[in-house]
Amino acid sequence: MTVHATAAEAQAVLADAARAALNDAAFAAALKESDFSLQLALTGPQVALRIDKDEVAEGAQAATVRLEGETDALHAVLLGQLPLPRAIVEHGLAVKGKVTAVRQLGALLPVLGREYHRRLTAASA
Amino acid sequence: MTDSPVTTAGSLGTSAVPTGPVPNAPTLSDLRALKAAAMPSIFDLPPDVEELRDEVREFAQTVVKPRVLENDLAPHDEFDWEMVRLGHELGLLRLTIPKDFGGRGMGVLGVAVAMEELASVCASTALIFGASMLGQTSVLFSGDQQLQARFLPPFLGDEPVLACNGITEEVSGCDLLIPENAELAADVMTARRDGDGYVLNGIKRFITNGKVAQWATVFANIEGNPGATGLTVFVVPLDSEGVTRGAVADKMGYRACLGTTLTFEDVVVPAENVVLGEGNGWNYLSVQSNQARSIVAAISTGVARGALEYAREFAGERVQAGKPLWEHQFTARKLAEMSAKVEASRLLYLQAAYQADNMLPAPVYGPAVAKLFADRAAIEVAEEAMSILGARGYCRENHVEKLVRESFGARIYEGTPEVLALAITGSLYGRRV
Repeated sequence: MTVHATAAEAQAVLADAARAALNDAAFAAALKESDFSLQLALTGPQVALRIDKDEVAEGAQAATVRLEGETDALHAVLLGQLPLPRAIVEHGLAVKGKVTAVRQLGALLPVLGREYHRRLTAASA
Repeated sequence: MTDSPVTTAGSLGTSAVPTGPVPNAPTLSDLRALKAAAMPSIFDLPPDVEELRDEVREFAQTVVKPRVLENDLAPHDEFDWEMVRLGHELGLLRLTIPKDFGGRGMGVLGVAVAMEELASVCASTALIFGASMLGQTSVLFSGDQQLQARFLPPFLGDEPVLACNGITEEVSGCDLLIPENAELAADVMTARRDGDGYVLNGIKRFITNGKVAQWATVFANIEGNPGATGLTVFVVPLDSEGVTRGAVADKMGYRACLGTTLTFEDVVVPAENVVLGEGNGWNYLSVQSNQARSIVAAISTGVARGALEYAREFAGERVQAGKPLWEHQFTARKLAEMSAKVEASRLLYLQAAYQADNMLPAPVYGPAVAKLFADRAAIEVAEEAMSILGARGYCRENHVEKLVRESFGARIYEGTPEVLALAITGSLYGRRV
């Protein structure tokens, strides 16, 4: 049983959360400052997103860091239930791109996670 | 008849190898710099890595090289803290610690390039710093802020502090490096849950820096799990009650770094010292090993390069039958093969390090291939260097015999050829990446 019933639902929730995160000044500034972009290439259900300082694009465009793995694992990371390093060793999440940028990713995930959590809560209300 | 001052290589004389540069000949390092400036490469090092390489090269030549013989010939349990202190001033003990923590923020590529430079002069010295970084890796990778706040600051202070990594045991050696052997691993160090923490019991063997490190990354099996199937990573301060540092191993090489036994007898470790949670030892080990193998391949490349440099210098000066050795076809062939092996080893470790810096977890295949090749190349190149130097290569004062002894070391740690072969074929048959 996966967290999101369909790929469309998972994609929509994550894209919406990412767009909201871009409205967070610190989040956007951090992306801009480091010229950082993130590609989500998730499976089961499938998600394909690219987040940079300007926009959230749906599809499989390349980015500074590509995060691969299962959508449920990212769900646990975003909700703070699973630290990213544990998700990597224990749940098969993989980072492709500058490994040193993973620290930047770690700093950005809480904002994305906060918005993601809001949307999940709103959907279940 | 020439008036060369060099004596014949066939006699067991003790005259030193000429140490001055060949007249009008650049050193091998200079040649590489010239080549790098003149030729395009698919491996242009990032500017910060180039800068580090140059700093470490100077450190190796000016600080390490003058101490190599003394440290190699010293009693096996002596340790050159002064050299470590000077390396610490350069930042070698905080290379991989992020810049915002006060470290140098280097990835695997930077460390590997630095290790090649150190190992080209003294692999033993490279391993002192390398083993410390290996110990730090668990804390760095964990992303655990409380572990990082407790265990990283000592590396940022004025005085040098070392870490170490404890995997190998008396009975379980390679069984603790091959995931498929987890269930079969025998007599593995245990961790018993006890209230809010764990109690560790067992003996780690051949732990580089074990005698001198402040803390260790230690792998132990949670009691009740067969073999090593409950392998878990702990950070253990080595002044903890119940930890005993044993005698220093009297090794044939790598004598400047101290390998020792660490005995853990009812050592209480708090739960917050567990890295990545219970039972993640094997998963973490795959991350650590694949990074470390790229770096060890660089150490072997350094050993091979060091041997080639001595051989090249000698063959450039040594005259037989009226011409320098390098103009004799047999010697030319040897030098050419040695050079090719050094270059191939370097390309393989650069590729593996690049992969490790751009993929998390690092892949199994590239680092294993790099280490397998470079370890063998180091042995072959060092042996050929000794044959070119003849009797001089056999004498301690000329460093080459040390390179021969040390060339065999890297073939053992971080995966023997047998372990690497299983990793590589595992990839070939789709079991691993």
